[in-house]
Amino acid sequence: MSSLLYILKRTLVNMLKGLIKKPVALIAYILIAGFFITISILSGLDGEATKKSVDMDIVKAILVGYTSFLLLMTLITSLSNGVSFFRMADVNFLFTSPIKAGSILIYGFIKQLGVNLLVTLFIGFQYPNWKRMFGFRDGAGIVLFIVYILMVIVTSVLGMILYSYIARKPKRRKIITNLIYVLIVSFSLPVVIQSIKTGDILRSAIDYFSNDTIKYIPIIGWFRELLLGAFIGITSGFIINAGIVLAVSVIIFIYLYRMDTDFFEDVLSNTEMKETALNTIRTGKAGIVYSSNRKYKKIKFSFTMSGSKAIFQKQLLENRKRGVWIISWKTIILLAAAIIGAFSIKIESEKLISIYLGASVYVMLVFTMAVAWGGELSKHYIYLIPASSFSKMLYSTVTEIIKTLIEGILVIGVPGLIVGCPIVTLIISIMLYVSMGMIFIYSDLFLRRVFGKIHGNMLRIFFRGFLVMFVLMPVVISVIVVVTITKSFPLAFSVGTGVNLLLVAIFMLVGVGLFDNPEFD
Amino acid sequence: MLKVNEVTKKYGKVVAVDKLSLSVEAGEIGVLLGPNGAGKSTIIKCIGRLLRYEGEITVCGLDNKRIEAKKLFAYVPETPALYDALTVREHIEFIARAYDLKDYKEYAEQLLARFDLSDKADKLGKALSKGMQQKVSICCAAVIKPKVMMFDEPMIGLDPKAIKELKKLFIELKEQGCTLLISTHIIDSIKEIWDKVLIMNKGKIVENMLREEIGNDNEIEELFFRVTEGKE
Repeated sequence: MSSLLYILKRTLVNMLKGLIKKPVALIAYILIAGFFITISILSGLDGEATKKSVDMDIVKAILVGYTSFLLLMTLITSLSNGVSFFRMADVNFLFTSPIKAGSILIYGFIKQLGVNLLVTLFIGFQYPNWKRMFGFRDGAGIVLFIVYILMVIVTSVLGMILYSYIARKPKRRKIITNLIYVLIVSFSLPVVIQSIKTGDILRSAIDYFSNDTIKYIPIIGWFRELLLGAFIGITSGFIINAGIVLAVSVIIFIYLYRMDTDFFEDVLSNTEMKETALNTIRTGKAGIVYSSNRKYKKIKFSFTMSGSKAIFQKQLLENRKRGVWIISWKTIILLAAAIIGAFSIKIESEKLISIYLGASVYVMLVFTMAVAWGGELSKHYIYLIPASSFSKMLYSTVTEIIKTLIEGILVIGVPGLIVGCPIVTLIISIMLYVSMGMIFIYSDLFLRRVFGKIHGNMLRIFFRGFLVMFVLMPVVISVIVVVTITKSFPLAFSVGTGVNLLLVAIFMLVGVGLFDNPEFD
Repeated sequence: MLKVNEVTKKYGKVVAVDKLSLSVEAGEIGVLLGPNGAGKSTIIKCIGRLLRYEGEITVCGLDNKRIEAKKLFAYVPETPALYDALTVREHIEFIARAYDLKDYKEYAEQLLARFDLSDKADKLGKALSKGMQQKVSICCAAVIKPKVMMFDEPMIGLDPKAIKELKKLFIELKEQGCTLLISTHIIDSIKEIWDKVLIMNKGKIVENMLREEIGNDNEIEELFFRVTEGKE
């Protein structure tokens, strides 16, 4: 065990030493920490936020939805690939060493907790918004943090056990899959029955998922009660459920510990996949982490464009093979929400479109961790291709712009037509949306050029979040000012688009240097 | 031909390449030898304009930054990097289009056949083993028919047949007047084929000799240890 503690200790020490050696990164981390602390204090001081009341039935239903989704994802992952807390270095050095397997498992857990602490930092980014939106109680941040860690532990351990159970006898996979289907159906059947009776699916779902009996359902119910702590404070229910979750975690953990060497084989292939995924993130493809067993469509294709246009055509081919790019799941969900909103929210059409614009840009900010074309920069070909740097920059990003345009047409244009928004306003709104998307794309390039390898990819993504928020602020303000003065949405959106395009031009001018003077490693 | 003049590359305070100068003539195979961390890969990447540096590098008399120069050189990296979703043949076609090559198909098929890739031409990049990926990487570089070609540890991961075929390709390219710069730390792998040996240590060229100046292949090893470790 001492050798495992040594690895953990040295990893931490070396990480801190690395930060000291790179003062820019250290300053960046301090700034980020300062930002969070300031925002948290400010949002804590905001009396309005705490007074805000939300419908607890809706909250409960959302929490059940969230925990069910998380559990389902864990089960699906376990059925297909399983989970792993380890890296290939652990496999090569530790799995072959004379160290008790249980100790290695504990080491894996501690490492995973460390990773999750970092993830909570990113989630914390959204905390002030949530607090304002949901009227969290004071100390809700700590509650959410603890619950999140508990969720990670429970779902990971559960996933690991399930995977090792299936891995030993492949026919068990079918049984478990069918069992999951039965559970899903029996869990959602009451909502379906109630919906048929009342004709209101949303109300039926809220009524059912906020029901008190749900709290007795393992994991989903337990975590619903725990997460409720953020809204209603620490109650006896919270403490009891926390105790149950902890007890279950300990029992499962002891079981795993006693399984001894059995889990090595189970986690091996998953570790390899994790390694690939991490490399994908490191090389700049975060956000589109492809699993190594991803299937690609067979497509008959012939290149017709030459020079840097071939990069664009290559990306089209890759996207067609992946079958994801024209309409992603994110777009479908946004579109569905936008259409439902178009039929149910009764406000002026232009105002509704403004709300949609704001919401879709927010989603863009939260979910676009890194741009898909980032992977292009991790291969040497793009730098060697004999074409001008500007054309290489343009053609390697144009697929993303087209994707944003399609998204804009669907998410803004379709509901806009439903509510009868003027065509001019719609076209300018879509242009504003696309220009926002371009800010996301080219700010990434700008930061890669300005900061280079500051301290890993994640810090750059963080910086991009800040930069985008910083540059979008004047855009949002100018749009609001113009609307207030002129009452003209098309004019305000045009001003916003103009400011965006100006910023995009600046980002492009700086970013093009990445192709002129690359620092490829 | 390839000319590197007083090139320095620094990573922060670390000097990876220190005022390095070298030249390899047309139809010559230059071999860049050196221990791990000597700066071989760094100088190769500087020549390929993949890194920023101080100094001057020309390819057939053209600044390596110019588009005309980029048309003339090709680079095979140490670690092959293929696109997961493209097949072997699509990789070649992509490169051919990006370099605006004409009448490349027959030569591309020959290259695929030489490296036993014909039957794998429709396989995806991600489905190939590391050695196979390296072969594709070599084919992608060779299909350009460059005037200057750089290889960074090209034989790592290749099977004996592919190594033999690659050595034959080196000789053929040389005979066609191509300038070759091959970086390696495995001395045995380049015996018989080299014309000029450039030994690097701590970012500098510490020895630069032609074949006729050395005599036989076995002496390179002695020379290598003498100049890198100061052993007699």
